[in-house]
Amino acid sequence: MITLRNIKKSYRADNIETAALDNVSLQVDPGEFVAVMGPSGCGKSTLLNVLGMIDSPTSGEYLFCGEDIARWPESRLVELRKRQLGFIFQSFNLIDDLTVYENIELPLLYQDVPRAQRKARVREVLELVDLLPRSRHKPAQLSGGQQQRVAVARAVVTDPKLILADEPTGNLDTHNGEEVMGMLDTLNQQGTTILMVTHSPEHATRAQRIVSMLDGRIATQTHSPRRAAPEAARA
Amino acid sequence: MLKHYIVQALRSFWRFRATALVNLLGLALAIVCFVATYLFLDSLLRSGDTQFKNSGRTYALTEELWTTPTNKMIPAFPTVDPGVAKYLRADLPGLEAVARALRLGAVPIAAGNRNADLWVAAVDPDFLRIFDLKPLEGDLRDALSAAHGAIITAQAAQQLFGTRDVVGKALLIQNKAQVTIAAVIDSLPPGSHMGSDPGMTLRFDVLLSMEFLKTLGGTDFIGLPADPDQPQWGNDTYLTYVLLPADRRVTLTQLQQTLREFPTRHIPKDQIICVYGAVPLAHIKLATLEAVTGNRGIPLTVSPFLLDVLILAIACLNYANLSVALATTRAREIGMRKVLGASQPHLIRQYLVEAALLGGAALVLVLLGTALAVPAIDRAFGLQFAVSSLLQPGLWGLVILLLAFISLAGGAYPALVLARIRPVESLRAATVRAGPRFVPTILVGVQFAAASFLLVVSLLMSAENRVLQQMGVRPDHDPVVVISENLTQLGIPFETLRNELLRDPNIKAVSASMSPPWQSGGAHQTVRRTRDASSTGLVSIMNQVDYDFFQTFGLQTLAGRPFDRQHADPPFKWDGGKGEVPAVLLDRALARQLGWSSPEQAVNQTIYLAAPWDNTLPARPLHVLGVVADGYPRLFGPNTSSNFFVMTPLGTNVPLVRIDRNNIAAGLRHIDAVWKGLAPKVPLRREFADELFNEAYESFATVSTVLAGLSAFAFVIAIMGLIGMAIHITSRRMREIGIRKTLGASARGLVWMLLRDFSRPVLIANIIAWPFAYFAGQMYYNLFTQRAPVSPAPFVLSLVTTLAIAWLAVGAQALRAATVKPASVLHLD
Repeated sequence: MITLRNIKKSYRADNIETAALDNVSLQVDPGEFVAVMGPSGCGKSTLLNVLGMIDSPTSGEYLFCGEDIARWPESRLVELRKRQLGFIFQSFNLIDDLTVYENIELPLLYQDVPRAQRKARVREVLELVDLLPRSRHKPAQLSGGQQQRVAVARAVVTDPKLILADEPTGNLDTHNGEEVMGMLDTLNQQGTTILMVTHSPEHATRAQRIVSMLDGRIATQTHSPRRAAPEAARA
Repeated sequence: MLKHYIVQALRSFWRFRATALVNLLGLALAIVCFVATYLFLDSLLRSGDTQFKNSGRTYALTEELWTTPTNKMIPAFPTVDPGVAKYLRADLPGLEAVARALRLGAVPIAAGNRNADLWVAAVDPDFLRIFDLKPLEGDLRDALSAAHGAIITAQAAQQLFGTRDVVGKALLIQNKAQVTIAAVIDSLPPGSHMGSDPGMTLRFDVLLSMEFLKTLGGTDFIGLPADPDQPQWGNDTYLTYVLLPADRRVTLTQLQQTLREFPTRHIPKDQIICVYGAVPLAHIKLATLEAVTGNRGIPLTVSPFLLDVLILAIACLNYANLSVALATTRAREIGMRKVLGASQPHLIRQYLVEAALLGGAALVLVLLGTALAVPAIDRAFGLQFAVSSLLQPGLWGLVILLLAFISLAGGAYPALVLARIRPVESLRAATVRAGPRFVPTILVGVQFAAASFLLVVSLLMSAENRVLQQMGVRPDHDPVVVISENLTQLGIPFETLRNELLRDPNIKAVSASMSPPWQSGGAHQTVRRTRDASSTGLVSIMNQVDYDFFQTFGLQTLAGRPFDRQHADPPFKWDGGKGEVPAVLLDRALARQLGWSSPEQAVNQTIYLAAPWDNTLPARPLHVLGVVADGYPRLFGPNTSSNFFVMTPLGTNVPLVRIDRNNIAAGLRHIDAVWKGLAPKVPLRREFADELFNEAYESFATVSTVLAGLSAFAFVIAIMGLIGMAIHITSRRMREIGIRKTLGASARGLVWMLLRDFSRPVLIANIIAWPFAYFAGQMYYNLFTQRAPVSPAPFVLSLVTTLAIAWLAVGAQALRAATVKPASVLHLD
């Protein structure tokens, strides 16, 4: 599904160039659950941003479903992003002015989904994350765990092929963290490809593969014996 | 999706309600100023002339007079030489009508045993073809075809006869000739440039035929020929109307072309340079107003709108500034929207909807504000706004366009910039900026510069207005009474009147002049130090006065002496007299302009008066008797602020009487008693010079006050935006402040740091604004004959005020920021 070849991402500030990613090559198959780990500053979030098409690599190839999108303009990327990807962030990144319902509905609005269909789908995912009674609440009225569940709902409402989660449990307590991980597990069981950055070794073991990074490079990749890729992988 | 945009916009307004309110009020205030200015000018210029059925095809000719190709002597008043009409008819035979009108002023008229001073104008017969006057009695068709026909207004007929049934009755004009009333007309349309009321461009109670002038033996105006058909180039005293044909066989363009070529075709070389034009009938009042103020670059009636443009620009800058500031606050939200699939058009549309909603809310406020402001302005200035003016669809269309433009222009910048930022950068809210770093600084700087400019200009205008008011209203001086009767026409010798008046000790001085004080404009003449016509001539105003004029008006003689009877100073005569060199007094301004650094240097010198109408005639020498202080009672030049005085004891016709200020009532009683003795059948018309000043100053003062008011509004809008920006900028630096405090910075040090950083753009902005403000102030000053000295005070005050406001706005926030616990602000990241 995803192939990265010799991806480099560097930042320049006042004649000093910093390599956030240094010749990273990675392949992710449909239906895989991949965890990315590493110390702070190793480039995990940068890798996720590049994979999520919200940042562009300085050089290298990024093949998504067989197409090299590394040099695509933002206008093409946004189309691809909104139809194929879902995002979950550590700090939730919900829009404060919108209700739970509206936050979840937003990606569907950007895809011009008709109203009736939007309504049905949003209700469906609200039930999935068990937040239907809170649909009219604003993010400020929810707990951290609830906010992250909204973020999860928002990420899946468009039925994406790939979900990118950047430390989804980083701001949650154990119980809520487990809830969120459970949802990710379920999604993966249903065939969604998941790429997750995490600091938690325990949560990382939920993945089929753990990619360890150090200084902008992939140091090791290990397969977790705990899970195998689901049969109903999404192409 | 639209519903989403609207909901998002409303919630965003609520969340950032302080900023939204500042934007809303700024926008609404700017538009209310615009509407109020529009209504104000509309009421000033509303022309009842559009009610004449031919008004759409009728034009009034204008004329500028230049002594040299680079020296404009007289601006474009809507009056031209008497000969233009005749030649124009020949040049453009397709014109439907060309007619002149000449104002003869207040003329004694007798009807049987009744007398009255009525305002008289002489017109060509085609005048009645151009203007569809409404006859109440008689027939207008041939009313003025005969030399001795007359038309009278119903009001004047009532005054003179006690009835309007007066067709066929006789009027004795100026005790000289008789005319017969052929028709009585109804009142003229309100707001027309012609009518019976004071201040009318063409004021009349009685209309006579232009042919009749020949029987009057000339008038008392300078240089008018007895035969009005004689061309006298440069003698622009005739209103001349042109009616274009309905079938357009002669167009306005052709008329204008013909007028451009007119001087080449008809005026001999070496005569004064005349430049002709045409203005629509509805714009005669406007043309007069512009000419009175000198036609300087920016028309007087445009200047309030220029100020409005500045106000609107400030409101726009406000909006842009605050939108940019707000956008950076919402950067993370924008980043998420992009991550979730929002394209650039989505984001731009969202911002535009927010801008449109704000503009719509501002429109509601504008309607409310206008409903409140208009009656208040009406009461304050007595302008009698017409409701119809408020209901003009064009006005509100313009308002909507302006609102749309400002809100879109102001909101578009951050929308366009943020829409282009990569999602990952937007999500890092600490580093995102809406555009280049210098943009907010420039926006703030421009606002401060605009505020400073407006404040300085307002202060300069106030200083000038104080000088003007001191000119006119001088409670510590003896008042001067102006007798508005033409002694020559009444057959009363001036010396007789003078001697009788001076019998009373309350009468301090009696003199006379050709024209009353506080008239705008005057007899512009060119004077030189030498006879050489190629040397630079100065345009100055010639004032014809009698003995004791300077004493009567309290104008101090600085050097030499005034005219006096003992020396039998040679009077000035237009025909050259007996070859004597007339005496002249200069005011201080003219002496200085002629190159004499001290008044004494000018005494006993000779200056030369150029013959304005014909450059081939030799310049006439004038012997300088003395120099008097500046301060001749005149508000507007135009084009000059200096005066010289010649004596014409037999030609002056406005008696001036100075009364002891400690016994005004007794002085007035004596004047009335003397008059009753000399002219028992003629009611005395007299006014204080102060009253004439108030009339002259009134319209101008209204405009001036409106300009000052607009400046104040603009200043308030600019300051509101600045306060919003100061709050925002300080808020953005909270994290930095937290870090500095952690490292040991004191609260006082932090406050000073913020104040200093904000003071720099204020100082620079002031320095940039000052030259523009000075220039604008000079343009205003140059309208008047008396100018206030320009001192540094307004500029310093502007700097102090803008700094104080900036410090107040920033200081409050700075103090709050400096006293915050570092953990609370550092925790946010």
